Amino acid sequence: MKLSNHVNGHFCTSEIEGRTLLITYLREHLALTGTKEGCSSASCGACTVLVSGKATKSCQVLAIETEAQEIQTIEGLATADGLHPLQNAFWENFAVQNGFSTPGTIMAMMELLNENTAPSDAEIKERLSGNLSRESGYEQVVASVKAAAAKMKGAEVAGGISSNGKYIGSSVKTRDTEKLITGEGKFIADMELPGMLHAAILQSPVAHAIIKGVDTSEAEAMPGVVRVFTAKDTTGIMPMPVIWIPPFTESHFLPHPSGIVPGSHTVFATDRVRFAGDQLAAVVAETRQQAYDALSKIRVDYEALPVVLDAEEASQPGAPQLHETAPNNIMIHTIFGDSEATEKAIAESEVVVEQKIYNQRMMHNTLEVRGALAKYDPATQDYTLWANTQIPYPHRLLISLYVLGIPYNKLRVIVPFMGESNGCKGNLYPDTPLVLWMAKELGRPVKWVDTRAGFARNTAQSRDQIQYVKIAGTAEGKLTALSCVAFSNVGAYPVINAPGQPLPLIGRSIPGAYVIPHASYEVNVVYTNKVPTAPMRGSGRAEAIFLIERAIEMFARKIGKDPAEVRRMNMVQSDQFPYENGLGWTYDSGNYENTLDIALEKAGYATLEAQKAEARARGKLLGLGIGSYVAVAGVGNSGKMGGEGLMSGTWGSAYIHIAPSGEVAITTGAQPHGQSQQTTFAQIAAEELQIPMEYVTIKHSDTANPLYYGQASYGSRSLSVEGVAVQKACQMMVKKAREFAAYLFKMPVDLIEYKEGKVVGTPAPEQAVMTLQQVALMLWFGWDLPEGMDPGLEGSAYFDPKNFNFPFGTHIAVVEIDEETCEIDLVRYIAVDDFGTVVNPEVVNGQTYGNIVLGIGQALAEEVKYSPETGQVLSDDLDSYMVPRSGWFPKVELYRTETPSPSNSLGAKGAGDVSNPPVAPAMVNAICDALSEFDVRHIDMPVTPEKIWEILQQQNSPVEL
Amino acid sequence: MIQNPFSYTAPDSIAEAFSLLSKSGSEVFTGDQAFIGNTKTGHARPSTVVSLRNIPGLNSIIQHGDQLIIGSSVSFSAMLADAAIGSVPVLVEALRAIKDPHLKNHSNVGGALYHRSTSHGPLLAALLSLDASVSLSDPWGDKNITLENYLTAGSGQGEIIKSVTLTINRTAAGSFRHIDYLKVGEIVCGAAVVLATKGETISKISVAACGCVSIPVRLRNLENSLTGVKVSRENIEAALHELPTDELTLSNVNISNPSYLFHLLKVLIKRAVLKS
Repeated sequence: MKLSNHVNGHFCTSEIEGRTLLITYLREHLALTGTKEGCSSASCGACTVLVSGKATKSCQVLAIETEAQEIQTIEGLATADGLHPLQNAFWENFAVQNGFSTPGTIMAMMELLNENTAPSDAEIKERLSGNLSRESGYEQVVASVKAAAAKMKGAEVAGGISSNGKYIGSSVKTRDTEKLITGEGKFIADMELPGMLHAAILQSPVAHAIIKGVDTSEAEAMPGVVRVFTAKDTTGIMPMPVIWIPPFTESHFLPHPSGIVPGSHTVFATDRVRFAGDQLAAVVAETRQQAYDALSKIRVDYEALPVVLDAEEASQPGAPQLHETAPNNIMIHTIFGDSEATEKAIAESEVVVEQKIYNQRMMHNTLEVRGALAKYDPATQDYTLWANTQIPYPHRLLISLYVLGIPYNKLRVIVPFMGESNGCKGNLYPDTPLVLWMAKELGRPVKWVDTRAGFARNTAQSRDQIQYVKIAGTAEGKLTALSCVAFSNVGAYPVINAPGQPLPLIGRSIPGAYVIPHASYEVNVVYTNKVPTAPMRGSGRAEAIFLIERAIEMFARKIGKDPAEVRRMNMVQSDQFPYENGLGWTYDSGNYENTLDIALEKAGYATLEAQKAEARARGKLLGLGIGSYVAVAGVGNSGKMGGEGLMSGTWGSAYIHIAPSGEVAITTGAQPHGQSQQTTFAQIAAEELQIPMEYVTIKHSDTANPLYYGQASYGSRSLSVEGVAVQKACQMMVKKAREFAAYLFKMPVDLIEYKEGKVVGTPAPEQAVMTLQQVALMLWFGWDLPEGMDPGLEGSAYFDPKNFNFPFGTHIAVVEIDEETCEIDLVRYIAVDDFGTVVNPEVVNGQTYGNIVLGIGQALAEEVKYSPETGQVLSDDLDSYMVPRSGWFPKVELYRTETPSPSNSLGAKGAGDVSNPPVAPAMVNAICDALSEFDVRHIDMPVTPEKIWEILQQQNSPVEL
Repeated sequence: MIQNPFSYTAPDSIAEAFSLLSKSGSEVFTGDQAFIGNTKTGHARPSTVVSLRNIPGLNSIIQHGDQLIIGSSVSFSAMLADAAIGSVPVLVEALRAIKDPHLKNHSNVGGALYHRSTSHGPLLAALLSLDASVSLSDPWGDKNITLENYLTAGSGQGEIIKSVTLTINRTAAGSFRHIDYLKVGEIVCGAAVVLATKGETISKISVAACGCVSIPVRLRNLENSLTGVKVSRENIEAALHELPTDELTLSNVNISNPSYLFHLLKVLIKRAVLKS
């Protein structure tokens, strides 16, 4: 049927089906891919457009219903005169990180501004209720809307973001953002190649079953289907590898034919499925709709097996066994620290507190699902893979060497614009090499983009650890010992770095910011029929800091002392650095007490009792919770990481080239996905080379860039490791320029100064001077070079830090619990963080807001739900997986101190995920403080009003009307 | 994506719509976005979708004296923008409980009556408390039934909802209270109350619940026990204490304990009565 309407002022007409959704019409018929598909259930708002001026989630509207109407998408916002004030405001106020949710958010706010020219913060937050952010929080969006509103009324907007006159430390506007605020930036789902086919992948209907047969005959006959693949077609594809093998303990993985690395699951399950996302078949068709239509026709004959979903249960004799290579489903059992000495110290202590804690399973639930696009060129035998992965270089190595067995130099991996990851896109999933292999088999490019329901089942989840905690000390409050026996639920198969999170990231981090003479962590990493787990923002440190911050809180209450004072008396003091925490980390620098003091002062801690009384008069129970933290970041020293078992280097790398024109191009091994490395690294380079930032281009996201050895972005490492490599690369150039100048000027190199982008011979500064561009030109000519010097001004630099770095801080949450409904309101949230030297403050603020929003979600709402009978994932959309919305959050208050790290020459500490760990304990501590008069000691997350009500009922403190 | 293909038609007259709806597998579509959600999940698998968007007379709000007639295609946002609706507090508060602008723009009265999703609950509860009636039309004529009866009986095959009618009682007060935990947009419990008083005594009260029940419902027994009662916190609480636990089947996908839902409902009713 024919649809005609106006889109962005243009008359459009197209043949569509009745069932065609507006988003499909816009993206596929009109090629307006600025509107993104996130949740597909009108929850996340990524697909918001204006239809006759009304905010409309285009994934939930039939295209035909917009007949004769005016539609405005993000592409239609800018005019010939430039960007819309709202677009500019988003850019200037740092409201854009990875940008996937940005177009939808901007369009929703357009409706608001068209109706209300001076919206308040509360009105903006309420209107944002339809738009989710999983990476950036809402503060900068609110600021953007207010700035745009003022601009649209003709007010001069005062520059709210200051500069310190230098590049490092200035909130320079982020690069590539214009493409994101106009919808031009292409994400994986937006990409088209000539002749491209579309894939859909069938997942298991249950979590544990014997597969008796997969009947694809009906699917093969469906319109548009090119081919259907099953396990029998992929016998030549090797299993996914595991590249983390702790040398200090026994691990139980699966076999791998390489004999070099152990293995994980295969692209298709063969005779048995072990979790709900196990893949069984793939349909490749001319269109995505045809592929999924055919997918629904595949019949699976299976015999269900008993499921085991709890890690502790799975480790007991008699539990269903998942892998023959892992008796009692134990992947790894190991102990950090001296458990005997710790238990002895506990037994001898005056006060002991014990608590079982469950750190619940979470879903990363990025708004952008995963996808891959692959192409094979038979003429050159080159493979090209586009994927939204945060580890492109490891993808190149692992796929070529360990999965497909193809030449490394024939595989190119490119990352287009990429939505947030929260850590889940740091794994090698079976679907990715499958897509590459299918492209070769079919001789045409193949694209696969997951569905939201599929993502819930096949993309790694996280956390999910049971902890038996004991904390001991003196009656005066001095800690003497801490022990934890843990069961980590790793799911059905190991991801490529499966041991990393439950082993060192948790195990070495449990002492937190405190001096604890005896500490031990015993962990069982256990297979179950759940989705495999991988790191999630705050990974490992979140579980560890939650443990210690809850434990120290409970300890303080048991001895009747102020929790802030107990923290203070046990904190590592500023004169104790470098400090060995007894479990393997050496904290580099810090002033933990200072951030605690600042946070307490900002929260009005001295007047807490008065605040509580005032709230009680309004029918609210007020509570204040502290979350102090120190978190390992800046992964890391390659030798140390190798010692932990990671079969990879973790150095940083940068390739720099200064063209004869003076332009500087730097390729980084970091993988930006919202952290703005393309901006911050240019700031570092501009400061180091003392040239305008506009001369510097940062290249990334393509293994064909001139950086042969690259790593990835994860674990708050990019700035403090990869950024330092950039700095080193620039320093190499300055060194060569000075040496060349010394030769040309016939002066000792000690008399050559590099200043303001020039080499200057200090004895004759007026005559002996060349710009960096002139040096580059002369080196490119190569007419007269000193002995041993090569032409050109380029080089590679690496940085392998001798130690990790350790950002730290204290967060405070103030909550009010309604006495009748037990609803929790967050009244204030105060974060005091120290990330060492900060290159771009507003970028770091954005990362911090995102960490806080995620942590609050964990504390209060998020949890993956499974069917206990079938092991099927029940929370497979953003309606059934609850995430707090903007209208609920108060203004989040951010403060920073700056204690440089001695671990790198920038003095930087990680910032990308480290401010997540203190959030959940601050929230739960606050809730327990609010309920302290009812003797509520602990509530497992997510802490819901229902849980609070039930606990109070059970403790004979029933909540009455 | 919608897996199930269907044909789509948008007739220009209600007579034509009747003809199309008489065919097996055809379903009416008011334009409410909940229908799209149902087709995506497979809960609705029509062979033909009959859209009412071109049928005249369904998209207006008409006031005749104290009678307010709201066409079935009128969106939530259009209702909020209407001055007559603005004079009915329980209705305004119920509509404002829906925060998502997309839901406000693309949910409508007819959709609420046909689909009864959680986002429709507040409106339905408010209309129930206002003793609203539903105007239905089929090939043989029009009929009016109470909303309460409609929610129990539903609409027959081929029937089209034309409008909802309510009477504005300027002597009555009303309020809608709800729980939307973390403002995620899931109303786990809501209570709509409309009451009239003589002095400080309740002379007439209607109470409707949503969110915690599968279909919004009037609480007649509670209404009887509150009628003639002096408005005070103690009296309201005493009446709510007597509310039988088994009168309602309470459930919500986000709350596993029906006792907690029952407690919430009582709290919200109390707050709505006291606010009114």
